[in-house]
Amino acid sequence: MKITRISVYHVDLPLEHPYWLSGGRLKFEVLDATIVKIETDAGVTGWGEGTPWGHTYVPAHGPGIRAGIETMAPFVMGLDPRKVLEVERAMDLSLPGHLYAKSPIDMACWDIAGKVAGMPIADLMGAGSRTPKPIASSVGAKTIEETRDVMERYRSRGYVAHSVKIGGNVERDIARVQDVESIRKPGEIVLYDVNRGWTRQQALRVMSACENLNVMFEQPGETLDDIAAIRNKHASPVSLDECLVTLQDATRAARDGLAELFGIKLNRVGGLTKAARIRDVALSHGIDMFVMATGGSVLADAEALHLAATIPDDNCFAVWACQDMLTVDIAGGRGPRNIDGHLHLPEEPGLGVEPDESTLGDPVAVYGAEA
Amino acid sequence: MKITRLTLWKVALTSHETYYMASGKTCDTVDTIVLRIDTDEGLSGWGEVCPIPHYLPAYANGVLPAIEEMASVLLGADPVGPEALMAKLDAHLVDHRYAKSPIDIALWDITAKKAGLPLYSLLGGKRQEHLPLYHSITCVEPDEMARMAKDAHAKGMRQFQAKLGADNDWQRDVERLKKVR
Repeated sequence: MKITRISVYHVDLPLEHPYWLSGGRLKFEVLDATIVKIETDAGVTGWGEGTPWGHTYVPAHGPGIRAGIETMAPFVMGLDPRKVLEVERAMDLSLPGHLYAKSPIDMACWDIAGKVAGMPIADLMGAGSRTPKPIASSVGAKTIEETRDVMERYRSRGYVAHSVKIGGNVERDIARVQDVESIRKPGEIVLYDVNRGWTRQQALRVMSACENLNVMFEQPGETLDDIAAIRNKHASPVSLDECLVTLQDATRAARDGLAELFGIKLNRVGGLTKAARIRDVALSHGIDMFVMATGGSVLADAEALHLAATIPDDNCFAVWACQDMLTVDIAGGRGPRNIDGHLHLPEEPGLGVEPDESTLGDPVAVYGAEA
Repeated sequence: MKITRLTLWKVALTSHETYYMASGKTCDTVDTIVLRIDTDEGLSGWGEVCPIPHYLPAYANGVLPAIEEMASVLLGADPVGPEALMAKLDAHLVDHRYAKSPIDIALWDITAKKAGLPLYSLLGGKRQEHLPLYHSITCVEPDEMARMAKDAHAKGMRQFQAKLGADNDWQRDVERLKKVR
């Protein structure tokens, strides 16, 4: 089987509510999604998606995905898409770095491999847990009252996992953590996500003040060096998110004991093939995981769900449903959807969801055999 | 001073000798991206980035979309004193430093022109009048590499870099090193 054609679509996914990133970074209202269709000489088609969370969050942007695919396309054309490592090596050789541009191709190859095998991707990867995965909420409120309101809204929809955004103001952060802990229900999972918003002194002050609450913080500093520098001065479990990009980041964090949790975001780390190695580093070092898309449609959520399903249930805390933040649906309600705050693994072979091509518009680029 | 316009060119540069490196990486023609930044005072600055294909996390096709992404920050901004504006670009598009480098160069060009000084004066002053070039020798037949080194030596080159590993044969790599040496 050979890859014969790669079609690239650019789709704007409007957010229901405009999003402001912390630290005065740009507000954005639309996610720039790149949808990739890979066709083969065997008539099997695979779909991939790469949707960065804007261009101010991590080193990734939509036009960069499309430019990267333009550069890599001649090198993956003709390869067997089921041989995902060969495709990965061809991409890594033709374009060093730029993992975010590689993930949609990797995802489409896994979709094809699953379809050919007649198995969901997670099963093909070796273990597809059918336990519904809790979806983490995204609580971006600023005050105690707003935080309570937003959490209550999510709870009423069945959510048991929450990512509460903090950072930027030590006293307010302490007060919000204390309040959320005072209303946290048994069994609820709460991660306090700093999104790199603390300097070292801010991190130590909040973490010390909250020590008796036994809570977890995500990305409590800008870099791995920042997180390492405070490691021995606080007692809180730490989750790595933005600065967990490469396998080397994961091995350093595991070896040096920099994190007790990994937030694996598929687009950022370069897709399922690379993410699976980070998963294994985590599992072999007693590190639990959150698995998510960086953003995007039900396709991106489904990709993350497949990886999450390959993790033992006890070691995977939650996934995400970015699809619920969008006003458009490119898959007509198909695929894994929010059911009482959980996603259920699709039983169809491959990814388990395909987009409606009519919602994608014309491809912005086609590589390989002409239609 | 305000930036009024960005103009980008993609220029194919063909080398005198095809460049072979390890892992099957080859360069014959490479695309370079040339940038001109125009201002409302009539001063213009030039920048360039020419990523070697398949070599580092940098590629010519990635430069144009990244600069397009950053154009809204650049247009109307003050180009003099590049670091302030470069910090804004870092916040707007995370990393992608190779795509930012031609902008940085062009901003320094404008800043130096505005100051009426060669750029080195703004960067700390001139310490050397002449800087030696080095010559990079593509990984081909050992005798051919030795000939290239001699030719370059005759032209005044005294520093050399020899590429190895293109044919995955360590004994030939040893021969290459001995002969070039």
